[in-house]
Amino acid sequence: MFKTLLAMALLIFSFAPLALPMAEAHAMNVKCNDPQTERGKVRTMRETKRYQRGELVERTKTGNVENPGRMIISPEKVDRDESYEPKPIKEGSNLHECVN
Amino acid sequence: MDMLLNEEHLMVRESIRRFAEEEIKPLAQELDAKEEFSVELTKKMGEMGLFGMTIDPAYGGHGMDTLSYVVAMEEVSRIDGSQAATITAHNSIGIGPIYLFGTEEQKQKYLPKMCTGEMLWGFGLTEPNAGSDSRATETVAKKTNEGWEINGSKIFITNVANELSGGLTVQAKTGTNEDGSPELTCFIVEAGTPGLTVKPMHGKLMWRASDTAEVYLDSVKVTDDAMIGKQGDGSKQMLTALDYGRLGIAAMGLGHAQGAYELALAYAQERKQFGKPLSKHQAIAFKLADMATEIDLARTYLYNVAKLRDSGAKYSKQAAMAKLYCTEMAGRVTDAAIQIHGGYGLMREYDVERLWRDQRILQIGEGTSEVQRIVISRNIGC
Repeated sequence: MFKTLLAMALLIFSFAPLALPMAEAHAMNVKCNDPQTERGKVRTMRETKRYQRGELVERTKTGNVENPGRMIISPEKVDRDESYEPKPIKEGSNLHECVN
Repeated sequence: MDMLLNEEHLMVRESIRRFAEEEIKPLAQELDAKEEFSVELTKKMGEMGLFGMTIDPAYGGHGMDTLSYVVAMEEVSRIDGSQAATITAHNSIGIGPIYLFGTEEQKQKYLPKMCTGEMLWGFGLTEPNAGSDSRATETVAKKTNEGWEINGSKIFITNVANELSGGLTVQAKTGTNEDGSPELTCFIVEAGTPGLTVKPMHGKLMWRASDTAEVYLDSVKVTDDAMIGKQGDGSKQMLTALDYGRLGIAAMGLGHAQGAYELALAYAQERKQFGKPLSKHQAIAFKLADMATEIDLARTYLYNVAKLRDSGAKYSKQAAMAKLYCTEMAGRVTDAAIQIHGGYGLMREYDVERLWRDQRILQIGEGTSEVQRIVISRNIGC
């Protein structure tokens, strides 16, 4: 009986590390399917390019009360704002994953 | 499919899809019914960055690649053909000749406003007697002491008869080559130039909310500075611009097909006949499966051609193939979508009816399907 419980506990804990990435993936899904800038408008092509150049950063999980989970793009440059961290863009991650 | 897209492409798709859903879709039916070109909506599209997408930022463009442009056109066309027409006509064949062949002064003067959408530009190639045979241009430009005097007319010209129109590029005959063929040259003709008259054309089957016009040039005088590139290079310039234009038109076909397919699928899942949803009837399910397959194949090829253009390789044949396949595929898919909708698909209240109408021009405009086959056959050694 004890061995069975121990085995079940080990099994559960072995999957625990997957929980966080899955939660993040869900957040990304919400975020990337709902592109919106701080201005309350859809992200423009110019903002998209600036984001790609790292001049804009996305503020995730900012607690935007009206639109929780929405993608927020800040107009401030990364080096002038320390209130949030720039998110590195990696191939095969982020928007790639959520669309695929 | 998404293997071909990087993060920027996906961001473009998301943004334009949402913009089209929120800003274009609510107006599309009404503007179509009224045959009304919306200046306000065009300005919004400009603010969104839909003009000058692939133009160098040094001239006010957004510096994106061809695939971004194709994705954007696909997304707008998924919702509406009229607004997509305004965008693609301006981006490719409107801006193209000046961007690709204009002098530095011409680029500095015109491109920044073109890229914001403050100024729309037309492509003056088609004439009443020179359609597919574009070298049969009857418009003539004669050299004068002050520059050139242009006489003639153009027809089916997009973006020249609205308050945002800045002018158009006109192909005119400037002489005769040694082999007897016409020497054709392109000129910039600004809106408001004396002798230039534009007359909006109404009663269109499709693109009813886009601006289409006849253009009359009666002793229009332009300076030497208005010539684009070299004298005699006009036809080559126009055909080069059309190569790019064909990718935009192909993207429109893809977008119309995608939009119609989505509408048909949703309808088939909801509509019940003989006690079950249409989508559960094999005849309809197979039809939808064929539609999805054709769309995916078209998308894969078009995206690859877009990447080919950005590689700097010659892509005339591939552009013609993409335009031919995507537009004819759009015809088949939108027609099947109407069939699935049954009687409702014939009503203006249903968006699928508009997509079916809007796609029809794609097999004609910017080179008919027959012209695409000429281009392809010449490129394969026929």
